[in-house]
Amino acid sequence: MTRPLVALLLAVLPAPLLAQGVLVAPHAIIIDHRTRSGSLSLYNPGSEPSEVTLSTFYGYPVTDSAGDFELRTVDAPDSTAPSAAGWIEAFPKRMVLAPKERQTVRLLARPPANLADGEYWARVVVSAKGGTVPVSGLADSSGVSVGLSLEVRTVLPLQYRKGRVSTGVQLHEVAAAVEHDSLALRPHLTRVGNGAYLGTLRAVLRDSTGRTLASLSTPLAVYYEMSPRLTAPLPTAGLPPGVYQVQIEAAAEREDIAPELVLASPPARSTLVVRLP
Amino acid sequence: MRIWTLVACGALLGPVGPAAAQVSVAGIRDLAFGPVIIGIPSTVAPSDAVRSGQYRFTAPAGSRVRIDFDLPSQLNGPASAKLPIKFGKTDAVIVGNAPGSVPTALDPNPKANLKFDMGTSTAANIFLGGTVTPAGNQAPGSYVATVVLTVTIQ
Repeated sequence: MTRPLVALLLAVLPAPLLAQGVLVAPHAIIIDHRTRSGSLSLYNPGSEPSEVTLSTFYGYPVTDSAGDFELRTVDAPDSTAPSAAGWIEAFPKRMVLAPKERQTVRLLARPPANLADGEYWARVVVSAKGGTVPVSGLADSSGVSVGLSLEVRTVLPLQYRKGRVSTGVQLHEVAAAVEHDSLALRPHLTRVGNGAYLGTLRAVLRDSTGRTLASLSTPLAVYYEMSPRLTAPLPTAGLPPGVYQVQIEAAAEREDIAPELVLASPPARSTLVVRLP
Repeated sequence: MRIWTLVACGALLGPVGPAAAQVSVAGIRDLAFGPVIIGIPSTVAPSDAVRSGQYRFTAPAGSRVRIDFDLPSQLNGPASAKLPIKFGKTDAVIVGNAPGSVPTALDPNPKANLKFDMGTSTAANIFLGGTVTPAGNQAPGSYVATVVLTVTIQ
């Protein structure tokens, strides 16, 4: 299985984008109540026209029982949910992007007049499909030919901020274990304040001399609470029995989001000891 | 209403801010079984360099993305004829573009809760296979359907 896969990947990885799809930037949209608008830049890198549709819904990331990220969606959010999905509109909402064509889409907010201060969330869906449905192979009068075309959707977070918005995160019950060749961490994170916490979680594993043996860094988006499962590779030689220290820090920084868009908050830190028999 | 229209027009004409990190999802190659033999199941493996479906997505290094497939259970043919299709638990394979990335088999079926840590990769390819089972009396012609891939950014 591995050899054919490697051959396959060597053959196809350098290939340019040939079919339908769309490139979207930025990948996180933050709108301020004073301007009430944001924008998305779309680009069709392919060689075929791409039919693009934008829509919104309400949802936020959580973790499942295994610590994997999933999106919790609410079809009809009630008045207590901080949903912006019902009053964010995209202009244009539908378009056909010619090959190599760019298009700016404006996202305009029409919040209710009595909107309270705080942060409101939505998810923007960018759907793209090719202009034609290909039928692969040739079918003669006695044959059957089968083909499946591909469509793609990108789901992006949108945050609308009005007035005073604050955030922060608390680290609880951090679980750490050595699993095979990896350090596995399971921190429980709870957001404080009225805005989603965007930040980065960093962790290092050190031995008794202070030498760093493993480390990880992962972006965080805590809307209410979550317990992500995170792993970091250990040295190939493994770890000898002993006492180790894991230091974890959640900081309000994101390499992929402009600093002025990340709500400031003090870092949260935790340290725990891992004993290997 | 007029004011709102003016605001919308003004916004459409205004400059776009500098692009931050970007994401893209593209269908590179359709899943193509081609001609199949009536009465005999036909399988395309995700490692098939010609016939497997291929998606490619980009996302910032280090980010975690969720992957969801919307898969058909049958294909539509001539005169409302149907052709069953199934996807096995290893019918999808994902691999990042970072050096040393290892291809990983995925279950493309719904509720498999697929996620991918980009790590040092900035792009990943997903390859999709499947199995169709034409009946002995399958009506001849072309059968088509659509596979949808949704990539969600945390």
